[in-house]
Amino acid sequence: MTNIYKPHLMSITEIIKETYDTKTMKLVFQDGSLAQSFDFKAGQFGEYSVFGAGETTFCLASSPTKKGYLECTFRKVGLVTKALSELDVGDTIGFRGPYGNCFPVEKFYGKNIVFIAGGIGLAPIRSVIWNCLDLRDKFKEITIIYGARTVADLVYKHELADWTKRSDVKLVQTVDPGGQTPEWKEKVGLVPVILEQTNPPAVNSVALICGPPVMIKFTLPVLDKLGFALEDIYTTLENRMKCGLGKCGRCNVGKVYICKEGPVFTARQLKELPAEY
Amino acid sequence: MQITLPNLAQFINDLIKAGRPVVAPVKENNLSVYKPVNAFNEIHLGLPFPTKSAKEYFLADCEKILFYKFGPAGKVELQDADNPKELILFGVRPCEAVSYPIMDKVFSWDTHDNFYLKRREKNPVISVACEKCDNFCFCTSVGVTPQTTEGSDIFLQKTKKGNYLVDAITDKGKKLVEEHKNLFTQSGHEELIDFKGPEIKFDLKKIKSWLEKNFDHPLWEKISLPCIGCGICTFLCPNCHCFDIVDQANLKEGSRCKMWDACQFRTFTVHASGHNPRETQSKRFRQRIEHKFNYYPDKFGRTLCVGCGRCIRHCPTNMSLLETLIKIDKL
Repeated sequence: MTNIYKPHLMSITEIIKETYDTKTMKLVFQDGSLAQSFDFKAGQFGEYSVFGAGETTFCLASSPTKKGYLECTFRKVGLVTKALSELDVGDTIGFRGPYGNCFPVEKFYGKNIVFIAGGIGLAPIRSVIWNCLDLRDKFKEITIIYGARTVADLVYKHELADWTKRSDVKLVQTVDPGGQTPEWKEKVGLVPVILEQTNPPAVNSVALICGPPVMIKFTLPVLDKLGFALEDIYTTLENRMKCGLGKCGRCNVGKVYICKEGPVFTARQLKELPAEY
Repeated sequence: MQITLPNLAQFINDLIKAGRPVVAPVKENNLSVYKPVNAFNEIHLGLPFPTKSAKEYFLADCEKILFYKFGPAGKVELQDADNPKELILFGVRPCEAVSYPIMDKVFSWDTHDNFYLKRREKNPVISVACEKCDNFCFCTSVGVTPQTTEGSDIFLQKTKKGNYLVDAITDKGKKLVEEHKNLFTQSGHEELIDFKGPEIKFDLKKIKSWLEKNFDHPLWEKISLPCIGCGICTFLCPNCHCFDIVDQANLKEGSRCKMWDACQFRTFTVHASGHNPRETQSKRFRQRIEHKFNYYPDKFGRTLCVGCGRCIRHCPTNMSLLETLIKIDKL
């Protein structure tokens, strides 16, 4: 009997401590043939499980252009993420996926891309960023606006440093007022404000946005002001999920299951949904 | 085809003797409950209705979906869950039988949940036409009748002489009848007990079109005030199917389980960040109605309600889905 809920086994091969409560884990399939054949698209997600603690939903934070492994980034906030954060290199976790739709990266060929992320919301955006950077010739200007509450909350610090050095990416980093340290040389201000100051090109452009609901709420009007059409603004929803397969009913919003028809939606599609995300 | 009452008893008793578990309504104190029976005379077909629906025999309330053992050096060994065992459901009402094909939609679209579907494939449903209803029944308002045969493998309808007219509908049902064909006789064209069911109380189409347009209507808050969010309406409902996935383990081994959950609980939708898209009970109440009468019909073409009335009969605060729908119908 085929069991759609049966996970694949993966080994943790590397753990990066991103912040005081956030870690990135590099994962490799224990089944060698699956490690070869596994493929996914930027924006998709998976059900990760710690045996004995349960399953939890994260995006696939690595880029599909990087083969042979997966990465997930998570904050220690609940039962499963606590158990996950206690695991070591070499330990086994379960993985089901990839699930859901994706960012239509091929549709972005020949366009400017503005990535806007807040806090750990950079994780799904980072998958697309690397996807685009690995195919750099296919896109025009790439702008990344990334903010966190405090300097200590910024994730992927080593990659932020890499992107800062690259001449083919414009990275703008910011922390919320009060979140800066004496050494902080980047911007101080909320993401919507910094976005407006940065004033990225809106013609022939798409914007990809992920962060806390309050950030998205105040960023959408700014994008509108800058001239982005609702169809050109993409976001990924993080509704609570369990099965990831459109069965368990948890992520149902209006006529859609976020896990099947989403998690990636355009701002236009979000307007059609009841505001329950 | 028809069958006499003594032969029907023998049919069921023969099945049980042959080692095929039969689940049927049994009267316990003042309640009726679905449970495995040892003989036909334990079965109770009249009122009151079984408190719980029989959905747990397809969608188990706690379904083990995976077993695992912890090995050395962080290794884990997986073991498949057991295949669901066959059982025969007898004496379900037409409204319950029709709830299964409605629920099949969600478990078979896109990917297949075989824990549910294999049971549906294996387990025959023998239903009996209703002869009575109570004040909470509203099947006819959602397109079901006391004689609806959809979802049944064998459908029985009592005649005025006390025999049962037998309709073996599916291959599964025909096979069961064939195996015991000496108990069945040709239909004597006896007059059937004619029961029309409750009168139609609202217009389903009108409800749907109102729901499409009134997500933010003040009615939601007003009407949901008595709701304490206990979720009993969803657990008793033959069609509510939301579930959680949870682990249970010790240091050596563990299992993963699919468990019933309910949209009426505050924690159902709360994000890791603490943000909750349905933070008030009125929003959760609205979700239940919208999902049953608007979203599910849009996505799967069926209303996710069969009018069995369980959610009303057993609500601890006397809330009535029927009254809600009548109220919406009149708006």
